[in-house]
Amino acid sequence: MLIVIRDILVVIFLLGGFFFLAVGIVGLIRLPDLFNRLHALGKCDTLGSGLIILAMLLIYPGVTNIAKLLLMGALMFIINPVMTHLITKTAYVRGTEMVKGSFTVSTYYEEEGEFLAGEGEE
Amino acid sequence: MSFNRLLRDSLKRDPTGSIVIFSLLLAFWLFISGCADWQHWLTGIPLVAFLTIFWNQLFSDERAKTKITWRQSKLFLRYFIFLLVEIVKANFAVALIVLSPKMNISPGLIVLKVTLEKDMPKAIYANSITMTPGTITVDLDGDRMLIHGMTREHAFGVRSWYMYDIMKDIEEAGRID
Repeated sequence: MLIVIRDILVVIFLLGGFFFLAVGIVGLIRLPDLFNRLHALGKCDTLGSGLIILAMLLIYPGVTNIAKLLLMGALMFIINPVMTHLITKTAYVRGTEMVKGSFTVSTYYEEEGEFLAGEGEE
Repeated sequence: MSFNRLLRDSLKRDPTGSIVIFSLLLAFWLFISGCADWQHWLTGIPLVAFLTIFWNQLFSDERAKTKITWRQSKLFLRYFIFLLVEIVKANFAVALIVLSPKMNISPGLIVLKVTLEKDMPKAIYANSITMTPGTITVDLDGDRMLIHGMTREHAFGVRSWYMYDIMKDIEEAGRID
């Protein structure tokens, strides 16, 4: 009985992981420019591979496997946002064009605690 | 002999740090190798000791040491749990946008002021912005943060994000001690 519940959980986690990885790829194809594509890839990969690692943790017993899988998860957690940030920064510095209609707003000189209701120049 | 002097220097410089790093590395080695018979101890201990001494030579700067208080680690655990929830929410938001027939995106860049002082909280905060709903940290320079948002609401939502307050709390907790 316990094994059945575990297997059902594993299947749910694996399918969820595949779903989010697939969403990342669909986003890569559908979204208009580099920055938006990285939104899809950078976020969905974190949760997708995280869920797959979680499923693996449930199936494979043993201290060694668990330690290695947790290490992989931690590395994924650190590397993914850093690489996303590096790619966007490089693209920004090189002046990659954004999709038409993108806005640019600075709220740097605004007082802290004072929030405008979402307006800004186009 | 020069190796002896190296050992003495590194132990004198930071004995507790050396012991902590030594035990961390040894635990790592035993976890990865998976068994703890005498062969593994025999291989592990000399190599770990060598690495510890080598490490001490690399990072000898006293000011660069990180101090973490008990309260800070509790707050950070809370931060991490909220971060996991936010990541799941972010993925559903992105999936909704990507899979809807006409994608409702209004992307753009926003410049924010971030008044965190230390480098480590800034880096962690920037990374959590990258991992959460529709926002990517493009650049971080001093207290100026450049963020790309997928929709206008996402981009403006970063300004009053509750994770920022937790991060401020973590920094405050470090300052008292």
